[in-house]
Amino acid sequence: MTSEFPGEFEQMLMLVILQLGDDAYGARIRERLIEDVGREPSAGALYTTLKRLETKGYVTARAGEASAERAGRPRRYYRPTEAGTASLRRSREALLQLWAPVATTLDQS
Amino acid sequence: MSPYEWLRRVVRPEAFAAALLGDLEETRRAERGRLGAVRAELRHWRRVISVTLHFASRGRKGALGGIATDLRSSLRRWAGTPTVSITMVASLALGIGASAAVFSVVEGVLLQPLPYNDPGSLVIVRSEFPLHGSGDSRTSGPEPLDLEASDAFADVGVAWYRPGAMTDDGAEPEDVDMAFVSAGFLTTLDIEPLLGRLPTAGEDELGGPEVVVLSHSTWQRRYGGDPAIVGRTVAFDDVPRTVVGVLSPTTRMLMPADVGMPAELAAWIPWGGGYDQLDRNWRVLTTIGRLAPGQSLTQTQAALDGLATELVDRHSDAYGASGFRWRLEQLEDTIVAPVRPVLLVLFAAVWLVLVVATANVANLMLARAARDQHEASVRVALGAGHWRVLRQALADSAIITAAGAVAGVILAAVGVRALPALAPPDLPRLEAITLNWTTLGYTIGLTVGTTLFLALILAHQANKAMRGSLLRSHRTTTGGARTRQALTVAQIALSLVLLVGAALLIRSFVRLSAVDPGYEPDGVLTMKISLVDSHYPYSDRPKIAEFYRQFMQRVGEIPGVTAVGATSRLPLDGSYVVDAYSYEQTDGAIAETGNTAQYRMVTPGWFEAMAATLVQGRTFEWTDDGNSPEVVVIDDTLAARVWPEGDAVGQKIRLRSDFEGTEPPWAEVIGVVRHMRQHPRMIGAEQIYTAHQQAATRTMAISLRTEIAPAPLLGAVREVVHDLNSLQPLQRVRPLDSYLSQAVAATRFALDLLVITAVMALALAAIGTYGIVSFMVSQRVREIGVRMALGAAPADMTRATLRSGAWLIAVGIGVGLPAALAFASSLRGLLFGVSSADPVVFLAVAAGLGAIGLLACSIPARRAARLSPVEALRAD
Repeated sequence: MTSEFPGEFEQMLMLVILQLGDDAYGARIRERLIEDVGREPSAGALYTTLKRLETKGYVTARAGEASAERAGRPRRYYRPTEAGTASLRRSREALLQLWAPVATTLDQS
Repeated sequence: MSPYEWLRRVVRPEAFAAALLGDLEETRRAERGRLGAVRAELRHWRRVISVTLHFASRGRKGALGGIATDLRSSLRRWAGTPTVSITMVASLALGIGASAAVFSVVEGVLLQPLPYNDPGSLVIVRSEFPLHGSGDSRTSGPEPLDLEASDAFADVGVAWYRPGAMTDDGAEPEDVDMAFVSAGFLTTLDIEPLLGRLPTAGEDELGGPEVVVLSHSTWQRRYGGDPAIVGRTVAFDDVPRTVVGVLSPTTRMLMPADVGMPAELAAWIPWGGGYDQLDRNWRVLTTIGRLAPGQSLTQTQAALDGLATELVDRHSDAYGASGFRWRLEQLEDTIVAPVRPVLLVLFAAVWLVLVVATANVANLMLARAARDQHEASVRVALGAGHWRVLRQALADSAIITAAGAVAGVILAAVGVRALPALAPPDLPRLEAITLNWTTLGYTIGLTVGTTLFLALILAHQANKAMRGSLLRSHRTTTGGARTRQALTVAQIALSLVLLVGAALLIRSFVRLSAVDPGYEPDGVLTMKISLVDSHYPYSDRPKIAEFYRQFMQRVGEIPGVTAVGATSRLPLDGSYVVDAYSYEQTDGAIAETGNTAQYRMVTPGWFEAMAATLVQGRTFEWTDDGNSPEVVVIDDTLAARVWPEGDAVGQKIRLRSDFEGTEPPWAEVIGVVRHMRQHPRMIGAEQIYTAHQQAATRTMAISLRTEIAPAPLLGAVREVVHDLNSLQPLQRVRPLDSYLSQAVAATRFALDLLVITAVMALALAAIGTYGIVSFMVSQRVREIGVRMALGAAPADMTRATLRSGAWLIAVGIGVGLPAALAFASSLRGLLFGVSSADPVVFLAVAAGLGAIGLLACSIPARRAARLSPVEALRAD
C-alpha cells in the first residue's frame, strides 16, 4: 500500500471507472474520456496506465464476456479498490487545500 | 512475426493482452462505421503500434528505455506530417529497392562462383592468329590431343554441338540439340551423374560402342523418368544407342556465349570422330582444361605458347604464317565478361539514385529540424547532452530508413521478378538471380549506412543549434540552409550524371536501330535444317546438295513465298567463321597474307530472300554446282579494298582451306553484293560467299521471304521436308527481325534501366529543388514583407527567388558536368555512333535539367510574389 498521490492521468482514469460502474472496461473508458475531457489519449498511455493501476492495487480486474464484435476476446472490467478510492480522496483533499487560497485570484484573472 | 504477436510478447499477462486486443477490435469496428474503412484501419494500426511501443519501453531504465522513448516520440512526430513522411519513405524505398534489385543481379551473375568444383582452375582454350588479325573461340580436332600429351593440364575435354532428332521406333521424331564429347569433357567439369555413369575412355574412339548420357529433362520428358533407363536402347538420328547414364537436374552447362553451345542439350554422346584424323584448320571443338595442381594460368599459358611454336614448325602447311597460338581464359571470367560493363554501369547508376534519394530525405529532415529548432533549443537548455541529441537524431532517421528499407525490399522482390523479362536472353545465369540472404545483408548494410548518414547530418545541425540559439527567435535562424543547399547541388549534379548517361544510350540506340544491315529483315522467316547423319553422311555431298535443291524448288512453289534460300550461318546469329584468303592482284601477282574475311556458304535464292543489294555481276544459280568451275560472291568492302578500280567481277580468290584441309582451287568472283552486317555494331569485316552446291554441308539456315503472314505457310514447308525425308525435323523457326532485336538487347537493357534510374533521379532532384527554394522563401517571409512595404514590385520578388534557385541549379550543373564526363567515358563500350563527350547531348541535358529546375523554383517564386506585405510582416 502506497501513500503517494496518483498521477493526473491515473486520477482521470479512476474517476471514469467510478462513473462507469459495472460497465468500466478499456474501450468504454476510452470513449468516456473523449466525451468528458475532449481529448483522445494515446492507446499506449491508456493501457500502460490501466496496467499500472492494477499493479499499484488501486483497481481490480475481472474477466467479462466475449463477443463477436470483439473478435471473440473477453472484456476486462475494472473496479476501484479501497486503496484506490482512499488515494483519490487523499489527493482531492490535498488539492482542495492548495486551491482554496488562490481560487478567487485565479478565477478573476 | 505479426504485429499482434509482437504485442502479445510485450503485454503481460496474457489475459490483459487478450482484453486489450478485444478493446482495439471493438473500437476498430465502431470507427469503421463512423470514419470509413481506410481511416479506421490507419487509426487501428497506430494504436497497435502505440501500445506495443509503450509496453516495450515500460519499466526499462537506462539507454535502452530511452531509445524506445525516442523511437516513440519520433514516430509520433513523423505520423503528424504524413505527406512529408510518405515522401521520405517512398524516396528511400525507390533508392534502396533499386539498389537491392540490381545488387541481386550483380551478385547472381558476377559474384557467385560457377556451379563446378574448383571453378577457378577451369579454362577454355581459344585459337588466335595474330598475323591474320583473327581468332576463334574453338580449336581444331588434333589440337586437344597435343594439349593432352603435353601434360600442361590435369584434364582436357572437348565438345561440339549440333541439332539432331530423337528417332525412337513408334514415337514422334523430336528435334533436340546434342553435344558430342570426348570421354574427358564431363569429368573435367567434375560433374556427377544421377544414374549410371559418365562416358569412359575408349567409348569416344572410332568404332567404340554407341552409348549416350541423357539430360535429366530428356529422361523425364521423353522416357517418363523410367528408373530402368540405364541399359535401354534409344535412337538419335536413326542410330541406336545404349543409355549409360542420366545427369542430375542441377547440372548446368555454362559456356561463353561465343562458343555457341545451345541452352538446352538433350544428350551427351561420346564422339568417335577420331580427332587425330581431322584437319588442323577445321575449328569446331569447344576445348576446356583443368589447370594442373599448383600451376597458374600464366605458367600454363607460357607452356602452351612453347607448344604452339613447335606445332607451327611441325605443321607449317596447316598453320602457315598466321602466328598461331592458344589463348587460355578462365571459364568464369569469359562467361560473364560480355555483361560485366552493363551490370557495373547499372550498379553505379542505382547507387547514384540512392544518394540522390538520401539527399532528398536529408533535405526534408533538415527542414523539419529547422521548424522544430526552438523545441530542440529548449530541450538543450534544459540539459540534454550531445548523446541525447544524437540519439534522438538516430531515432528520427532510423524510423524513416527502416520503413524505406522494408518497402524497398518489397520493391526489389518485385523488381527481381521483372528483371529477367527485361534482360537480354544471353545474360548468363539468369536462374542464379534471386533475392537471397546476401542481397538482404547488402540491403541491411545500405540501410544502416543511410541511417547513420542522416543521423549525423541531423545531429550536426542540432548541435549547432545548441550554441546559444535560445537567445534568437527561431524565425531568423538559418536552419541548416547551407547544408541543405549543398545537398540540393549534389542532387542536381548526380541527376545530370544519370541523365547524360541515359541520353547517350538513347542516342546510341537510335543510331543502332537506324543502321542499314545491308538486307531487309522484315517479312523473312528463318529455320534450320540439320540433315540426319544416317541418311546423309557428310561425305556424300551430291546427295546433300540435291536435298537442298529439291527443297528450295518445292518451297519456292508454295503460294505466298516470294523467295527462298539457305546459308551456312545467318548474319546476327552470334557465331561466324573467319578465314584467310589469297587473291590475284591485277598485275597477276598473288597476295597471300594479311587477308581475312567472314565467309558463309549460300544457295541460289538466298540473296534474293534476304533482299540483299547486288552491286555488280550476278548471284549464284543452280548451274553453279560441283561440275562447274568454282565461283564466289564478295561484298563491296572486300571489293573496294582489293580491287578499288571497280573491276572485281572476273577476278580470282582462293580461300585458305575448306573442311577437308585440301587446298581449294581458285574461284572466280561472279558478283559483288552490299556488305551484310554480322552484327549492327560490327563494321568493316570483309565477306566472301561460296556456292553451297560446290561444297555442301548438312546444317543450313533457311530464309523464307513471304508476301503473306508466314505462319500458315509453315505447315506446307514441313510437308515438303517430310516428303523429302520423314525423319527430318525443322528447327528454330523464328522471324529474322527477332535476331536483330536480340542483337541490340544488351544496349536496350542498359538503356531501359538507365532511363528508369535517370527519371527517378530527376524527379527526386526536382522535388529537392522545390523544397529548398520553398524553404528559402519561408525563411525570408519577413524580409519580403519589408521590401514590398517599401515599394518593391511583386515581379521583383519572383525574380529574386528565381535567382537564388537558379544559382543553386547552375552550381549543380557546373559540378555535375565533369562527373558526367567521367561516367560517360565508362559507358564507352555500350555506346554506338556517338562520342562519350557528345556536346549536343551534354548541352541538351544541361539545358533540360536547368529548365526543369527553374520550373520547380517557379512555384515558390510565384508564392513569394503573391504574399501580402501586411501578412508577411505579421508572420513573426
